[in-house]
Amino acid sequence: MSRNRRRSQNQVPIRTLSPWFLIAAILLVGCLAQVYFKNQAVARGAEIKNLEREISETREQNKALYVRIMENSSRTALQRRVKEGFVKLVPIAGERLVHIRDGAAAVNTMALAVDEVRPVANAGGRRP
Amino acid sequence: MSRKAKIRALVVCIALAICYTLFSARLIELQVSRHELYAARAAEKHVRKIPIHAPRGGIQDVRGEILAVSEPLRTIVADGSIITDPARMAASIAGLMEMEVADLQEKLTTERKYVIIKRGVKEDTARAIRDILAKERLRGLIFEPDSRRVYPNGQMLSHVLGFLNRNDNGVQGVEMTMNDYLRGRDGFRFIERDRVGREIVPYRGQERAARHGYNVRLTVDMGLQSIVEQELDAAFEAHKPEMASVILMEPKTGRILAMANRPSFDPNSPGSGKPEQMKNAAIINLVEPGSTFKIVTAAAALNDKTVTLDTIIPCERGRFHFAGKILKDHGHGPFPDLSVADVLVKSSNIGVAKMAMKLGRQRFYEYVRAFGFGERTGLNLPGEIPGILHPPHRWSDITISRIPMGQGVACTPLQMAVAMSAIANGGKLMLPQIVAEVVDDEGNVILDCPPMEIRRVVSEEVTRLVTSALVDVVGPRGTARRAAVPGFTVAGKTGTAQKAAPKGGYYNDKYVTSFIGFMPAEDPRFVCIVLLDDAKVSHGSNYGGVLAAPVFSAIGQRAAQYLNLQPDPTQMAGTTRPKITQSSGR
Repeated sequence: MSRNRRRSQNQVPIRTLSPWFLIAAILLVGCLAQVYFKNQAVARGAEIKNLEREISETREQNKALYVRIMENSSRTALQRRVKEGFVKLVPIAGERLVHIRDGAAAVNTMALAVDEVRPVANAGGRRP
Repeated sequence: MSRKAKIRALVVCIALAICYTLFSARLIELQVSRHELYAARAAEKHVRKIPIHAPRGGIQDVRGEILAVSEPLRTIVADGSIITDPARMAASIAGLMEMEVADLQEKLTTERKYVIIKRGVKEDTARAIRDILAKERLRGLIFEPDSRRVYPNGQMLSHVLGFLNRNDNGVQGVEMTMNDYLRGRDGFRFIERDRVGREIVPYRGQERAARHGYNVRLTVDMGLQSIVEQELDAAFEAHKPEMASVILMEPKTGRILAMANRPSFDPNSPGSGKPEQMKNAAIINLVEPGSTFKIVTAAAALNDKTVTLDTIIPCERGRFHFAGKILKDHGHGPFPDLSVADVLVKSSNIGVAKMAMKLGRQRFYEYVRAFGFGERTGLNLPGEIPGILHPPHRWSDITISRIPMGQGVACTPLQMAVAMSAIANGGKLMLPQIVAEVVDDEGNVILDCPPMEIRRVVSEEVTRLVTSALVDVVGPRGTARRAAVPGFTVAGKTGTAQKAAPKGGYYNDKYVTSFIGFMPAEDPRFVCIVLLDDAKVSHGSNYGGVLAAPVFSAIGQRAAQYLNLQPDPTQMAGTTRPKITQSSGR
């Protein structure tokens, strides 16, 4: 068999096979991408889970601290501290309290007071 | 290609085709025909339903002060099938878990998959343990969510709040009645696990989020509750009664502002409380009201127009022969003829008995029922009792002379407070309320509890008349001088009832002393009942006007300051008659 004939016989039909190569390449890349993305998804999932756990732990620690604050600042706890002398409070006597009336009542009172003062002043400056 | 080569190629192709066909058939069998079976087996092995714990809602007072809250804790569970080195694990974490190394190691050395190692581990401790395990690459401990109910105020308001059982369900108080709102709803999530038991997050399945428990806001004001508890403590210490109760109520709305009982218990450790300490005496304690009940009789007679405030009632000089028995006026008598107003001021038993007789059995009974006696008030707390009020056909001949003065009828302190509120608010019987509203985490109102009028009992005019008489009871001529609050007009009535013996009859030396009143009488902001059951004091001082009235006065003074009620300077000395609008001309 001549050399040229053998060459023509062993020739790879690139043109015929090229679509198949292309399909194989696409499939290969697709599969690799799928594996890659799946790994990524699992890795992200693990991260999400860690974050979820951390958020949950932080939230629960926060709640635990909140409860501790509630216990230490409750009315009973504060009263106990006052009794123990840890917190000092000066009681306000009733007669030292200033009572604030609502607007309309205050205006009426002021008007009355003004009305009451005038006749006294007009009667020669005598004090009641 | 030679023929031989072609045959060989064909044989290989056919062999391969047969192989592929067989594999395909097997795949189809596995994936299609027996799909259900294998999917179920895979799910059983890898899929798990994880519960998502819903935290219990809190309880707050009317101003948002926290009264009950849940603290997250952990229950540490060992999975013996995963633990490889129990000795090292025990040595690493025994200190943090406050356990002996040997004990812990014994618990960890197991083949069982679920062994509870310790309950109620605090969150920071659990985190420290988890860090140590991660650092030393030890596996096999599970940290399950758990919680503890915390009542920051301890014994204060314990009977109203109640407590929880091991399963986090309320067994008393608001924790019980509002359990469905407080509990929330647990969620779940289906997860898939890998070979070593870790969750594969992308394969998460169906999920339902947990709904947090709602928050319950009470009508109670802790500022007032604190005042009531302190004064009740002082009275309990001084007079050592078997039981004592105080209720503070807003008459116009029926809202309970404070409710306290002694003895009491700490809901943070309910196991240490005795049964008698856990009783909410204000709604469970059945007592004969004694003279405080005369308010009901007088209001009924005035409303029925059988008497006016000025009608003169012959009081038989303290001894009234009726149905073969003698009814006496104790303590303050004997009285000559008294007006209806003075019957209340002097607390004449004979006077009220005659008023009820004028009304007649049936009519009197109807009024007593209308004031809410003999039936539950409907307060949103468990265990309330209806009291005892027999119908007229079961009365003996003398009953008509006994019930008007508060004997032969039994009620709870709450029923008395509700009846007195009807006098204070112009004649309307209000539904007593302890829950103001239920809100979610964002503050949206889930359940609103507006004030509810049950019925009108007596006319507004009658309540004004009764109030004016009750103001005199607290005045210099009355039995409750010690209930006066400087700067304010107080209307009220004392009660001193012999304690009923369980086997019938009455104890000679045991009394239930009480005072019920409201202030300011012109525009009542609160009704307060103070009840001391069997105080250990000398016989001569075992009266409502001596024991209970001063407690009311102390509470009234401090409550007035707290509520910023403006005192009337003319009444600071407590001598001036208050202005109560009345038509009788008294």
